[in-house]
Amino acid sequence: MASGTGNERGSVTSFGTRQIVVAGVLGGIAVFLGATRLGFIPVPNLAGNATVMHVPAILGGALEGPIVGLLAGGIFGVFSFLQPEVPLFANPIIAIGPRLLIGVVAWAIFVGLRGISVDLAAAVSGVFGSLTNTVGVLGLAVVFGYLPPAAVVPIIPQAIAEAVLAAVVTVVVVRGVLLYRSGRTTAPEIEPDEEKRY
Amino acid sequence: MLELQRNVIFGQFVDTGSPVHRLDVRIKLVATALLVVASFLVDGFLGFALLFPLLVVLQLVSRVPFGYVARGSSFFLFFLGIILVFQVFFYPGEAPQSSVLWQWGFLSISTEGLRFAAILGLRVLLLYHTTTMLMLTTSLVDLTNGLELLFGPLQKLRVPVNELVLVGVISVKFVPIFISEVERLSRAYTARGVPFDEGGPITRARRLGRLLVPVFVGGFRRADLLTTAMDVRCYRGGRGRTKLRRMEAGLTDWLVLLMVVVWVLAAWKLPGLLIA
Repeated sequence: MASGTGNERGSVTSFGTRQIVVAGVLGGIAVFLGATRLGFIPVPNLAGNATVMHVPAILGGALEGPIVGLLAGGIFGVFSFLQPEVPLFANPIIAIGPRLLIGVVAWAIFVGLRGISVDLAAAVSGVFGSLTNTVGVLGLAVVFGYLPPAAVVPIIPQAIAEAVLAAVVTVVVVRGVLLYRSGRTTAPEIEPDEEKRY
Repeated sequence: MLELQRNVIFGQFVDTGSPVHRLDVRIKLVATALLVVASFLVDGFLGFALLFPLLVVLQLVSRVPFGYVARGSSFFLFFLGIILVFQVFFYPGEAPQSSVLWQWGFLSISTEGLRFAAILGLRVLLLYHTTTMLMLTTSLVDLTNGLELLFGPLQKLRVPVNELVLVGVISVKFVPIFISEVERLSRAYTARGVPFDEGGPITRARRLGRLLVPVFVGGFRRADLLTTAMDVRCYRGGRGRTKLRRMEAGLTDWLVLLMVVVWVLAAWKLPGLLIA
């Protein structure tokens, strides 16, 4: 039942019931954060608000592999395209494109660093997943002429805040999910059965 | 106190049994897609002026109360307004000196900037209203069937259409679950004296963590449960499944589609012809 850090079951690119459900649930969290506005921290500037809506995609990538990360990011992208509070997301290439990559980047980094330390892997994949989002969206916004390059500078502090927030949330949630999946949330049974005194 | 349920209309279905509700879903989806495309093609006030009566007709015929839509969109409109103001100040294009109305450092207001922001705003409103109305007038079951049928041909190219649609359906279905869960969580916190609607951005961001972590961990737990539930019921994608009710598009459905096509074409091409 417990499947550790996700990728043990089948190959990395398998797309079974588990991947469908987890991608759906994580996408649901992204939509929920957007629709209720809980995922925004109002910082008035051209890019709107600091957001944590990309965190589900990072977690999907880190815990369940690139396909889940891709799909969770895709749902986040489609949602921000269909409810484009910030006008530049009314362009589907900007809204969806970079978001597909968030989970894939997070997965690659998480798998690469997992051997050293799970916390480190989670934090770094949170930072880079978040930067994928920021750099991709702002880069395309400049390319498509929605923003002058100079307008990117005031957004940098917000990008850093988002990356830090994503790193913190990713570490805590990865720990929480791994803890819950390890089954250690109930009292451990260390003694062999025959030595138990019932 | 955190009040979420009242202000969120995303993913809600308001059944008034109107002609819009009874329209064939595939036609509705195609018409919505057309309007989304139109929001890019139309690039002038006249074009949008031609398109907006269509939205009024849609709103009236669907019999979904306008007040309901407006209340659910108040947050959205408020933030859109703020962003548009910024868009005016940071107009990315080159504005000739003659059209600059006000300037202070790199901030400026020009007629070009105002026009650019207004068109963007109209574009976003069109996109928002059409997709919101699609959700409000179509039940999730119909939406799923419609999407599966529309993208069905892609299955020949080995695109897992049913699975992808299911991912979308699960995410929409889970939104109300998360909403009620967070409301319960925030009540539990409030009862213990943690306020959620006070403080600056940093305080709010820190409090957000207390809500987010349980939501994510709970989400993964629910996902595990649902996976097991689907596996024991032998879910294996939608391949080879037949439908009890088959969708048939009638004459009215096609006429509606034709009307939308003509309307969009008119809004796209007419302004150019009138000026020329």
